[in-house]
Amino acid sequence: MLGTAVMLGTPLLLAALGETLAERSGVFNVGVEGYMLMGAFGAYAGALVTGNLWSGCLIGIVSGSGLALLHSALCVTLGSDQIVSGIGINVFSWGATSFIFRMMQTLGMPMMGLGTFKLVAIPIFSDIPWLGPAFFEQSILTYLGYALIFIFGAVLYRTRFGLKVRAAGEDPLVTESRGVNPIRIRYVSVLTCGAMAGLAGSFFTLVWLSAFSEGMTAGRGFIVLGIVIVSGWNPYFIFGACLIFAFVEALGLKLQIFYPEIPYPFMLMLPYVITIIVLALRRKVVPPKSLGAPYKRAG
Amino acid sequence: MAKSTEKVQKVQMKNVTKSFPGVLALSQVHFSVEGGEIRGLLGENGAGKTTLMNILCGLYRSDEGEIYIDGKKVEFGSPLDAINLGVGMVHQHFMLIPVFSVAENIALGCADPVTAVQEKVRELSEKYGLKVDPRSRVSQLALGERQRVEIIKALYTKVDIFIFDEPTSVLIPQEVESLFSVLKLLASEGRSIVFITHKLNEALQICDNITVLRGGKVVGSLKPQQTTAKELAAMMVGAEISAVQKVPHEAGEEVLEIQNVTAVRDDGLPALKDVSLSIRRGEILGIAGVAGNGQRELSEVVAGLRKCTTGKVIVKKRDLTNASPSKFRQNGVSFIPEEGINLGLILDFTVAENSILGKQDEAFSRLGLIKSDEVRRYAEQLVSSYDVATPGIDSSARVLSGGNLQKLVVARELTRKSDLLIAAYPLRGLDVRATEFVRRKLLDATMGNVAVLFISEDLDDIFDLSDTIAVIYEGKIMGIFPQAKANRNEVGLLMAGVEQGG
Amino acid sequence: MYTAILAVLLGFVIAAIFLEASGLNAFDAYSAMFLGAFSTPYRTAETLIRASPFMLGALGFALAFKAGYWNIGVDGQLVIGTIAALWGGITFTYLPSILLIPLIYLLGFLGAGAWSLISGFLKAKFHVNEILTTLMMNYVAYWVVHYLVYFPWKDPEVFLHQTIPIASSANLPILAAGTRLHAGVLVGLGSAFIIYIFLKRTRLGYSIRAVGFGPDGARYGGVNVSRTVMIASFLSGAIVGVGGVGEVLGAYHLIIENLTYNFGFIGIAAAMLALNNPLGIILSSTFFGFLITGSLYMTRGAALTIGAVQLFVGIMILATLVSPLIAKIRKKKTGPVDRQ
Repeated sequence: MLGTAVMLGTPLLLAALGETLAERSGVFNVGVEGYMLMGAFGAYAGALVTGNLWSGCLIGIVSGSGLALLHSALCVTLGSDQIVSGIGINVFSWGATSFIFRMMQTLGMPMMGLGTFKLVAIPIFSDIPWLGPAFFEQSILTYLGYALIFIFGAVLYRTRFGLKVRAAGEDPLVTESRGVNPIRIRYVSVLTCGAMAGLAGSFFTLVWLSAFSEGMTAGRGFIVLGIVIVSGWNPYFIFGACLIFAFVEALGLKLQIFYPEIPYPFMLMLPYVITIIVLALRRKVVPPKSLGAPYKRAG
Repeated sequence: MAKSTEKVQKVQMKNVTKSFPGVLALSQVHFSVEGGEIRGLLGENGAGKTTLMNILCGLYRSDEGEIYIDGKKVEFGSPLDAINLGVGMVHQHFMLIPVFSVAENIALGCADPVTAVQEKVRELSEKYGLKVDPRSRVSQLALGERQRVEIIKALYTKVDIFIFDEPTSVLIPQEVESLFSVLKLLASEGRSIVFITHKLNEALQICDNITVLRGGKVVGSLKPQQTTAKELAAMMVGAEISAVQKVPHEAGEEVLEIQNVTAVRDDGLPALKDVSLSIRRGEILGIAGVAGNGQRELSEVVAGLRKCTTGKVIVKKRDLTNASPSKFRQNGVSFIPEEGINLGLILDFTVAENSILGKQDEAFSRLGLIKSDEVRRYAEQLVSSYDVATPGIDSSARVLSGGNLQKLVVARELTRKSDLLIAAYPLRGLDVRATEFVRRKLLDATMGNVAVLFISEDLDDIFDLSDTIAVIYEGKIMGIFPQAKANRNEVGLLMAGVEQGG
Repeated sequence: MYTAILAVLLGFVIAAIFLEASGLNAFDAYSAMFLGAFSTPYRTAETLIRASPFMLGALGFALAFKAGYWNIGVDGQLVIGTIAALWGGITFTYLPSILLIPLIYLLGFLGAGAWSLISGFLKAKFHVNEILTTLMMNYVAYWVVHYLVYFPWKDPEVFLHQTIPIASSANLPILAAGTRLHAGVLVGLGSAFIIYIFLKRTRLGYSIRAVGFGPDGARYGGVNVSRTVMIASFLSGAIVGVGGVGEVLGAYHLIIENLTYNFGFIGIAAAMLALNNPLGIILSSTFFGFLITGSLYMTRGAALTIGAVQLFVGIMILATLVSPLIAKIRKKKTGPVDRQ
């Protein structure tokens, strides 16, 4: 079951890493759910069209980034309200993916996906008792996720770019006074979030299942928002937070099998309830000071 | 351009004039500094010191006048231009990111990596005696240390003209001494230093020359050796004595008493230290002091908008310490807040809705419904009697000018029947006519047996209106005297922190 | 107002692009939509019926928004309203209509209000971000109703997953013969006016708006900010719940899964389109009612419509963002002002 949790936690991990970067730069991106859905669909359609899982994955990333581009044009450059534009992006993404999906259906395109990325066992590591198979017999996306944790952490805390990102999220005015353009920084971070969320979305159609269904991300993007808050905007803690939520979801699935007396809806609502509880408990976190505030250049 | 016998000065500001809507901030000001000179810029709040320097560092543009650096005329389109010409300002409010370390703050926007910055900061820190650990987080630094970081931040790039805006306001005496040695060292390197302050003794101690501003004009330029603190104080506050006659009357019972009140500012620093005061019916207690010495916090504590950590607030014999704002209002307290526009009004409400802010529960509603006719009548009355310029009482408050917004707040608070009126800078932003009107209203209030706590930075007003004057400095009450016995110059000295007998 | 119209037009244009790209004729599609929505009394009634839950959802969202509270849990609160309505309709069957219907409305009001208050309480007392908690509560509500529909309340006589119907005494009266126009629509309209007056004319409305516009000024004015936020969250959810009640008592008389799915978000879009003005919401929610109903009659049949509608709604929301910005850009062109 731990293995299932790690697997389910992967999309959360990938999207949360991207979202952390975006929020660190000051953008409260409610649209990450929409990005993920767009990525899921893009990966699915892309794999079908190109006949190749890898390029499908790539197209998933591009889809997520494309949506992020639209979103950041609205809320970073034009300064519209971040929350409203995020909701709009989500609804738009749901509609666009459903629309094109149905169109594909009516045009008679093949619906079933090409199959999924196989699980790959990493030698030696996967032999560690109990933990090994759970963490090291996963899909390529999971391993990518592990690597990205450290990459994001290093970038955020040790590079000049990361410094600029954190500065833009704390105080864009001071940032600008130092000659750094917070608008450009936010753009880059939101686009990165789009790419990561797109990658996360492709998990659903290329690893977990081999098909697409409308709205299949089912609010996981919102759970990602909770994960980012709970892990204190720190990439190194994100994996832990993801595991908690994924574990709950995996637990729910398992309980369904072993305790069929308990109606399954109660299992499936667990992740959402847990999110609320965890958010209520973890109160001491300090967000980036300028999170959620659109910034107008002083010039 | 004849090269005259006089040394080419580093910075010259000539004929600078600057006005803001309704206010002439600077008028024909000449100001110059040589290389290697520490020049003091002295004056009360509102005298124009910061405005002048904001022009020099490129934040503002003057209406008239010219700036010369190294003999060449310059125009600043933005602060970046000034920075490129070597002008560096150490602001009163620091431009730092608290969660970053010192080195990270300086590294932001620099080409050097953080580790290299750390090294260079250590070097600068030693060279100038500015003790700072580059790896420490800014949020953990005391204000004096943060100021050292700002100075090093400026030193990191080439700065020839340093402007310090009220640098000692956040320093303890020992830190002031260190700062002065730094200033002397910087000057000895040939840099020009402008030292803005309202503290006379410091100006006398450290400056080579002092320029005094009052009301936007230069009233004197002298060397410390040629003058005394008393003379400077007189120049700063002006020697005119106002001829307004107050009608003497009996003060009644005590309405407000505060005992040993200590309070902190929003950022946690101390604001009030063991303050005790009392005010009686019909009495105006004027609080004199340079803005930022705790007046705001005092007014908020007495109105219920700020908690005090120790002490008691007693209104009409009832202990209202730390009670809610509505409790204070119910007990007859009216409050004109310092940030009238942000705190005393809701800008997106209409003028009419703002006119009942604070009273929407008592007088203006019945069974939960607001009596809109009465509200409208009341708003009309306020607007006309106080001459508030507004397109109508149903227009959003946002369209009103700052002065009219202030008038609205004043109108509202002065019109309600109260026992204690707290007026923090009530005349700010008002034109001459409105100022006269409000002053008269304040005096009338005392006829109506209201006790008034009057906070102002204008000594004229304090002396004209108050029955009793208290001077506040760095959160402490320096002295309380009846108005008749108070001496302007003495009060001026107390305001600047000079203890009696100096 | 103009921004709203601009947004709608912009939305139509963008959607037309999507339609054309998918091989449909936009003109045909749009005219079919109009006919579908208004051509007969029956269809017009359908449009109004569809608009009703949007209206109440929008009103609830707008009320909370006035207090500075983002109630994104509108969808879930609608669901809770439907649950309360069904429960009342199958439990209190011994009551006559004249008592039963108001009772059920009360249940929906209180139930959805309490559901929303959970998030409001967490925000007021613990400063937990309400956007996340209200969103999460949506999903909890979806699963609760899923459970109820599939298990305890499932109608054993019908093959599909739907609940047993409510007692006929709980049905809302029909207003116009030959249509399905039920009294719940009037409740929606009435609520818009009530809320408009509430916000403008009552002390509580004043406090709510004060907290939303200027919490510091509100505190200065004696308003208890955290209590007001909680009240606003409760009332907001309660209004939305009333919308859910109307759907069950008036339109469907039972619950199917996904009965009101996403209606809440459409309500949010309607609120934003009307700039959170209760009277404007009447118009904007009718517009969305038109969109949904009309699109059922669009060419190429229902296969495209659900996703297309979502797309439309999404485009609408985004379009509402663009129009105020155009106004701002126009203002900027009047020249730079000396910074102070």
